[in-house]
Amino acid sequence: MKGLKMKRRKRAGALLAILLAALFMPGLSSEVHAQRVTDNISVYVGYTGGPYALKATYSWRDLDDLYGGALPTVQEVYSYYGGDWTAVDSARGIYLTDLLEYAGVDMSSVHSLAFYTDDQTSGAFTSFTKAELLDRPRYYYPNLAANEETGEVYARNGGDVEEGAVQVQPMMALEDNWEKNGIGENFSSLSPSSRFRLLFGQAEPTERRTSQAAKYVNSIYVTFHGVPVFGAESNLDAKVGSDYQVTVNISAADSFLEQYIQENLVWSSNNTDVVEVDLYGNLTVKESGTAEITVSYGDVTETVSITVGGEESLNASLSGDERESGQEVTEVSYAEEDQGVYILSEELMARTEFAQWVNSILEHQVSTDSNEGAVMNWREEDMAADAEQLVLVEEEILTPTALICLSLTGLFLLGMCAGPISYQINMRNVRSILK
Amino acid sequence: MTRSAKVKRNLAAACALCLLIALLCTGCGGGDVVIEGESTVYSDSSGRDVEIPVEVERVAPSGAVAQMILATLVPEKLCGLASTPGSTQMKYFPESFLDLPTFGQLYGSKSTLNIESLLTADAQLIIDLGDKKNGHAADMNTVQRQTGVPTIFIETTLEKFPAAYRDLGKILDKEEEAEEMALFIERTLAMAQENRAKIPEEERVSVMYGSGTSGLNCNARGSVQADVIEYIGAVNAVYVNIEELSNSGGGNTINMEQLYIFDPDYIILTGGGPYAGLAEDSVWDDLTAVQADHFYEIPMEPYNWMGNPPSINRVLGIWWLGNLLYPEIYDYDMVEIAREFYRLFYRYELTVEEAEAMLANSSLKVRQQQEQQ
Repeated sequence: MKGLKMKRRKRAGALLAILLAALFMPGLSSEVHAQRVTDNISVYVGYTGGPYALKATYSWRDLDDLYGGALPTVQEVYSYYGGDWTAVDSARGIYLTDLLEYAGVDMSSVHSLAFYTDDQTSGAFTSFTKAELLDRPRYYYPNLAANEETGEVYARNGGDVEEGAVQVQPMMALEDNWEKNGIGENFSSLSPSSRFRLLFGQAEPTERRTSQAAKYVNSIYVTFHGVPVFGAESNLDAKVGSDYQVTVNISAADSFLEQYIQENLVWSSNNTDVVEVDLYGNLTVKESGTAEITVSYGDVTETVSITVGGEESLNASLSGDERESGQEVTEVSYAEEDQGVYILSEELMARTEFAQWVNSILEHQVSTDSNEGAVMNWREEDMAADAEQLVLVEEEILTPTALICLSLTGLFLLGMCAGPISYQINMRNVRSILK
Repeated sequence: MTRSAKVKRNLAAACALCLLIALLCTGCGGGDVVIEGESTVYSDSSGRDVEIPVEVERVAPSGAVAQMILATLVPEKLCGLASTPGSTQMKYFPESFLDLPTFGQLYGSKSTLNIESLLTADAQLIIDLGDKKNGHAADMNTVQRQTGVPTIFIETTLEKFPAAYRDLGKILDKEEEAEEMALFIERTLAMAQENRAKIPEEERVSVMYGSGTSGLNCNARGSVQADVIEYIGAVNAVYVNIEELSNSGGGNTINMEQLYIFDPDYIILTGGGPYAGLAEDSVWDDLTAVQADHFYEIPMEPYNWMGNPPSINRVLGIWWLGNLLYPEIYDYDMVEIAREFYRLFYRYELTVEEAEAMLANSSLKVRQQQEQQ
C-alpha cells in the first residue's frame, strides 16, 4: 500500500512538473537581465552602520560638459588584468573626486566608498576604501599583456611591463569602449551603454580588479571616518506637567549630514509612565520618578537622565549665611510644609522669569484667596535634597485700620517713627531660578 | 484493462495534451495585448500574424539594428532607444534622442531589457529588424508577452532591405520617405551586382577586415558582419571553422602568425585601431597589403560603414568598399555618394570637408595612389 501511495505521489509530482513546464516553457527561450544604462547618479553620505542621507542626485546631462553640464569631462585609458587576459578601456567621463566634491563631500573626511548599480538590486556592487581607490596611485599599463595559457603577465612590446605607464584617476565614465586584449586607446567607438561606469585602472600590473569596474552605477555611498558626535544635556530635573524639549548638538563631517541626523534622530524613554518623548525630543512629564531618554542615530546613542518631582516648582538654595530675620535674601529655598514670609532682594525680583512666576502666583492667589488680600497661601513643594532651610521672618501685617491708628498715635506721640514697611510676601511656593 | 492501466493511460494523455498546448502557444502571436483604436493584422518575417495598431505614433526598437533603421525613417516616433548614441554620434541625430529612455536589447542571450522604461514609454509597437535566427518566433512571443506590446519582426538582410523599408513605410505611415530609401538601396544592390559580375573569380582580391585596437579582431568569412566583402566581389581573407565563427561585432581574434598565413591583398581596419602606426610597425611590415600600401581605415561615423551592428550602414559600406578595392569598376565620387546617403538616411547635410575627412585614410588615399601611378 505504501509503495502504491509513493508511486501515485511521484506521478502527481511529475504531472505537476509537466504542467508547470508547459505554462512557462515559452518564456524559457530568453533570459532577461536587469542591466541597463543609468541616467542618474546619487551621492549618499553617512557613517558606518548608516543610515545614509541622500546628498545629491544628478542626471548625466547635469554633469556632462559636452551637453552643457557642470563638470569637465576627460578622456582616459585604463588597463585591467583578468587572469589570462587583459583589457583596455578608453573612456570619457568625470573624475570621481570631481563628482564628489561637486556634491559637497569633504574628501578629507571620507573613509570608504560603495557603489550601487542597476544590475545588482541587493547591496553594493563593490566598495573600496578611499585609501585604495583614491589615495594609492593607479595606472594604465599600455605594455601589459597576459599569457592566455599560463596567465602570466608580460610586456607586449618587450622590455618592462610597466614601461610607458600612465597615472590615471578613477572616473565615472559617461561613455567607454572596453576592449578585451586591446592595445592602446580607442576613443572613436565610445558608447554610453555602460553609464555610469566606474573605472580606476591598476595599482600594479598584476592587480586583478576587473570585476570591480562596475557598470550602471546609480549611487555612491560615502562613509566618513569615525562617528557623529552628540552633545546632549546630561541630567534633567523636571516637574510633573512641565514641557521640555531635549536638544542635541550634532557634530558630523558634513553639515548636510548634521541636519539630516538632527531630523532623523530616534527618541525613546525607558519609563513612559514617568516621561514620554516624541519624535522631536519633546518630553511629556507625567508623574514623579526617574527615566532615561535615549536618542540615537544608527549605532550612536546618547542618554539623558530625567528626575521628575511633584508639582511644578522652583528650587532655590540660600547662598551665604544670611539667615537673620529680615535679612535681605538673594536666593531662596524652602522646606516642605515651610511657610512664612521671605524678604526678597531687588536682585532676585529683578530676574524677569522669577518675577513673572511670582506675579503669576500672586495673581492666582489673589483670585482664590482674595479675603486675605496680599497674604498668600503657598502650595507646598518638593524640595531639593540639599536645600537649606531659611530662617523665617515673623509676619508683620499692618492693616489699614492699624495703620490709621498708628498714624494717629504717631501724630499725638510726636517723634515716633514709622517702622520700615516691608514688603511681605507669604510664600509657600517659591520657584527657583537659581541653581 | 486494469484500473492501474487506465490511470496510466489517462495520465499520459493529460501530459500529452499539456505539451501540445504549450507547443501551440509558441506559434501564436503571443500574449494578450490591448490595442487602442483601429487595428490590423501584420504577417511578420517569423511567420506570426500579429495584431498591430493602424496608427502608430510611439514605436520601440528591439535593439541596436532596429534602432539604426527606425531612426532613419521615424526618429520622431521613437519613444525610446536601445541605447543612447555616443557623443561622437550625436551630431547625426536629433538632440531629443538624449532625453529618450533606453530599453536595452529586448531579447536574446545578451538581453538587457529595461521593462520598466518600456512600459513607462507607452510604446504601441515594438519592431525587431535584422537577420532571422532560430527560434525567432518564440523570442518575439516572449517579448510580446512580457511587455504586453505588439511585437513584430521584419527581416533585413541586404537583399531584403528594400522590402523591409516599404513595409515599415506602410506600418508607420511614412510610405513616401520609405520608398525613397528603398529605391536608394535597390540602386545600391543593383550597382553592386552589376559590378561584381564584371570581376572574374580569379581576379577577386582578398581582404582582411580587422577591428579593435590590435586590429586582430576579425569578422571572418561567413560572418554577417563582413558580408559586404563578398557582396562587392572580393574575398574575405580570414576564415575559421564554421563552429568557431563569430557573428558578433568583434568577430574572431586571430594572431599575427595566422594573419601572415592569410596574407590578405588588402587590409581594412576600424577607427581607433593600429592604422596610424601600421607602416612603421615591424610586426605588420612584411604583409603583402602593407608592402603595397593597401591598408585603409574604415569611416566610423555615426556607425562603422562595414557593419557592427550590421544594419543600414552596410549599404554605404557597399559603395565605399567597392570603390576602394575596384575603383575602375566602382567608378563614382565617393564624397558625393556619402553626402547623398547622409542626407537621405541621417537627414544630415554632410559637407564636402566632413566627407573628405571621413574618407582621408581610405577612398581619398586610393585616389591619390591612382594619381601617382
